Amino acid sequence: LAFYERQNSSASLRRLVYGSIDPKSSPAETGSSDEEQQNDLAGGLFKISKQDQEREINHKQNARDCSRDQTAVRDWMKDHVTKASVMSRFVTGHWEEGEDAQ
Amino acid sequence: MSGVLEYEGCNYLRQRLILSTLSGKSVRIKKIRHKDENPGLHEFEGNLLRLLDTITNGTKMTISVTGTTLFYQPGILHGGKFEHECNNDRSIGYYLEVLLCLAPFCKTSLKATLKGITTDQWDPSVDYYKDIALPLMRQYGVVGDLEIKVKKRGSAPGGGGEVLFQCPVIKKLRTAQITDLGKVKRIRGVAYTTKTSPQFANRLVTSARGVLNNFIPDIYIYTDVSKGPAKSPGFGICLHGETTTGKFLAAESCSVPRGDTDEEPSVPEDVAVNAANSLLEEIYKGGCVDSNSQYLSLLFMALGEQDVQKVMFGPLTSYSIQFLRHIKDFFQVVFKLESKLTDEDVLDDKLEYTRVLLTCVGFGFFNLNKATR
Repeated sequence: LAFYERQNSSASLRRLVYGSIDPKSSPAETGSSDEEQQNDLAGGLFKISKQDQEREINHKQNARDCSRDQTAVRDWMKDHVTKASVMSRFVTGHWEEGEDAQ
Repeated sequence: MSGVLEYEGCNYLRQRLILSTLSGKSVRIKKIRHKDENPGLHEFEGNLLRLLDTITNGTKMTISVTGTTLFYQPGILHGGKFEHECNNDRSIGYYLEVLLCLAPFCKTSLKATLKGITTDQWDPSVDYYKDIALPLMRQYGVVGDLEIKVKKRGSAPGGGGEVLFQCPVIKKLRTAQITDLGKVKRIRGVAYTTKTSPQFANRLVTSARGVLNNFIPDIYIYTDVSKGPAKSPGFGICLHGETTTGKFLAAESCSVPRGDTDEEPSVPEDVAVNAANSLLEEIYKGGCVDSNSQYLSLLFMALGEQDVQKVMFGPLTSYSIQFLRHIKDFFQVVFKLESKLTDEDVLDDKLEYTRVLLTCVGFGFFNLNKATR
């Protein structure tokens, strides 16, 4: 879920994909060393040791090559609210003004 | 010849090989499972390299003695008609993904018969590519004799399935601006069984309808009960929704293979409800391109004409993020990424996904392999 939160703004999205070396990103975004250090602190409480990080990188690099999206799936029939939220994506659901069925 | 690009690890191997073949840049991949108990390239990856060797001419591959380093110098994409026995560690989808990316740029049109597992838990299934990838490719101008045909089904771990894939050769891609999702107007799908009771297919259909009928009445799910000697028992369902603007979104689910003792055996009802919920999840994300085929869209945009190309995605998958980085490495094409909130999302106030608008100027890829007649 944190993964999706990071995608919330365009700037952080660009940084997520291309990293701070992206020439287009403004200097403020290029990540001072301060920021880098903060990234080492997970949740501001625990410091991830270098070795763990290395292991994690190695784990990621040698993970299974798979294009399938692994997001969790919720139960859409659980209650009325969840059901209603996806309803507007169907022709049978709510139509905005200005939208028109051909 | 330009410099060799270097990477580490076995993950994203296919992306690297696809982009290497298309760009003509050699690639060296080091540290392939170098700390693993079973180090180096595995059999299914060797099988993939053989497949690439079949469709190309003059490809050079060097694998170190331990198998942990691979050097790949791409040749010319040839295509043609052939048969390929896929390794049963991965399903046909794993191999098909590579062919989908390369086939339009071959010299002669591709007609491949792939044998192996048609569906497994890991890779998008053959049905999925049939429903999603082909319409997407048509939007980018890959039109003509484009087809995926499931001749025989085979479940994990035994396999025994057979799939025909044919794809025309194109000169250049069409510029596409895919930003309007429209609304879902109908749901189609297929429920299939191999070496199990044919009744399972009906149970799958009934349960999937049980969920989806709450949203839309126009649902039709075909049943495909494979006759004849299949090697392993299994069943599954692949569903897709079509929108008013002709976009396709899909989801699927299948049974746990027999012999997998870690997990409980699957029940058709659970499998079907899971697939239906996944489809709703996918629809809710609101991307104009299905999450699992974002990479295909990205590739065709990057290789497309030197014109502004646009696409609206749901949240980027980690596979797509890596693909974006690789496209930058191989083709120097950088995408502009904008996160988008629609009014509707703000009103709903239950926003959990952010859609992403991607814009790029194509690389202007021209298929030099194609024979001019």
